[in-house]
Amino acid sequence: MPSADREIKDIFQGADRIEILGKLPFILWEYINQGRRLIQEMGSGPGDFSSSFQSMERMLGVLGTAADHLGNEELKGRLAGHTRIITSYRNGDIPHGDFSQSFSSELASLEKVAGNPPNVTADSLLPEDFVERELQRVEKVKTGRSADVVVSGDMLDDIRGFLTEKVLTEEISSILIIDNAGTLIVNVGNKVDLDAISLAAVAAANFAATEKIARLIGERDFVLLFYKGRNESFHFRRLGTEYIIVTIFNNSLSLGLIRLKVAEVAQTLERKLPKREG
Amino acid sequence: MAFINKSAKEIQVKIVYYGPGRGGKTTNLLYVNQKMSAKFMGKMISIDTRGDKTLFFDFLPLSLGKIRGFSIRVQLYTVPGQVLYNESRKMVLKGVDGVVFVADSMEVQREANVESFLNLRDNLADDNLDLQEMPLVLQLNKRDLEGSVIPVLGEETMRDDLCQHLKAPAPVMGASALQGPGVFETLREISKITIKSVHYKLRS
Ligand SMILES: Nc1nc2c(ncn2[C@@H]2O[C@H](COP(=O)(O)OP(=O)(O)OP(=O)(O)O)[C@@H](O)[C@H]2O)c(=O)[nH]1
Ligand SMILES: [Mg+2]
Repeated sequence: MPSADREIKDIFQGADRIEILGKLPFILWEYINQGRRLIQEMGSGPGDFSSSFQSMERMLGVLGTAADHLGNEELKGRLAGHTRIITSYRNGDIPHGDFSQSFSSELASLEKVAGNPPNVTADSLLPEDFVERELQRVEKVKTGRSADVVVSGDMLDDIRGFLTEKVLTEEISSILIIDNAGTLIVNVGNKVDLDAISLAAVAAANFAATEKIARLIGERDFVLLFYKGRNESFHFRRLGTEYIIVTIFNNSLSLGLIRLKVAEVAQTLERKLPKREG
Repeated sequence: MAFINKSAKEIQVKIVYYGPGRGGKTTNLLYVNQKMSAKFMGKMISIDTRGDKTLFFDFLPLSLGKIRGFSIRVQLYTVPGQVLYNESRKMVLKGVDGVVFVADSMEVQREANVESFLNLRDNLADDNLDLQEMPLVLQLNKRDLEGSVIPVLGEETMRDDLCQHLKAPAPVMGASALQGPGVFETLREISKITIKSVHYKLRS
């Protein structure tokens, strides 16, 4: 089942996997409780339950994928049963009265494999709407709109070409483009031997820390940071809201000139780099 | 490095929450920040991208009253747990007086816990500090997942995984940073042993 496989790979990567798994019992029990509420509401007569069903189907999607990832066959089987019965009801294959009864027994058997219900205390840091937030997180991860930006190879080649041909000079020795989280996106220049991965991570941390200082003293629009070394200097500038350009240049170049140059480059790159949605 | 001001009768210590990414370090500080009286607390500062994984550190200053006439000020820091951010972790670790190691109880994180613990040891060593001498509390976080559908490591297993790298076992605390149990117990324990060790160093 290639499509399900892809889905699993998408939402269970690195840190996202840990994040989603840790919240899974909460989502599972939220589903069960919503199911119980739905049965009650249906008992008091016909109505429009489509929004409840939609929300439950959304949870089922995440839960099923997670059960698969965990290799929990029992849970997976139960969840599949739920998807089946909800689909048949919504297709009109099961009458109203029968649905409540069979769904109720499906819920009971799901409860048996669902482990202990989480004991959410009044002190809990979980916000009221956290299930919704978790579902949104999963959806973001699935569609590639998580913390990691999706950039195509062609796009990178294009940017690299532009920077190498139009921007690098004798004086400007290296340019790095990183994202807010310190992921190295592009690295061009003759400082190839530097540990660019670490540099990117630390540069982003430094930028974020300086931005925090700016905010603590009441400055809002912090966009650039400059560091003058003995022989070479660094210039950091925001690029849109997601990226930072780090320029390493020789001290023979004036700061004014480098600012102008980087501002130009930023304009061009903003058109070339993907924007984060949502 | 603890900062002791004898004339103002004040001791300031730095405690760092260390551990694998997404293990609950920031959540520990958030919980303290939410539950402790503002009177004893400064402002919490998080340097991150979007309130999610830590990029650099979180910081929370506390005053914990007086011991033998000295006012005790404790500064809590978290490091970024993700492997990528080792340089930032080293920076935050500078001058640390005590460490809370926040281990993740989820079975899938078993290796990540040990890897992070060894990384702590190595980073301390780079700074001429010895993990064996460091005031240390092992927090086993996310215990709320016990009995749920998520496979969780036994406390014994976790303790053994970590303590095999220690000459003397460190105090172990089960916790759920998200829900509160264990958070203040951990803080109390690490403060106690850190201040004791600082006091001891002060006398010798
Ligand atoms: N179930 C459960 N989830 C928890 C607990 N503590 C933290 N979490 C969740 O785990 C995720 C990561 O928590 P953080 O506090 O951001 O983790 P961190 O250790 O600071 O992560 P990094 O900054 O990436 O190193 C969040 O979704 C938390 O809500 C816990 O005790 N139980
Ligand atoms: Mg954190």
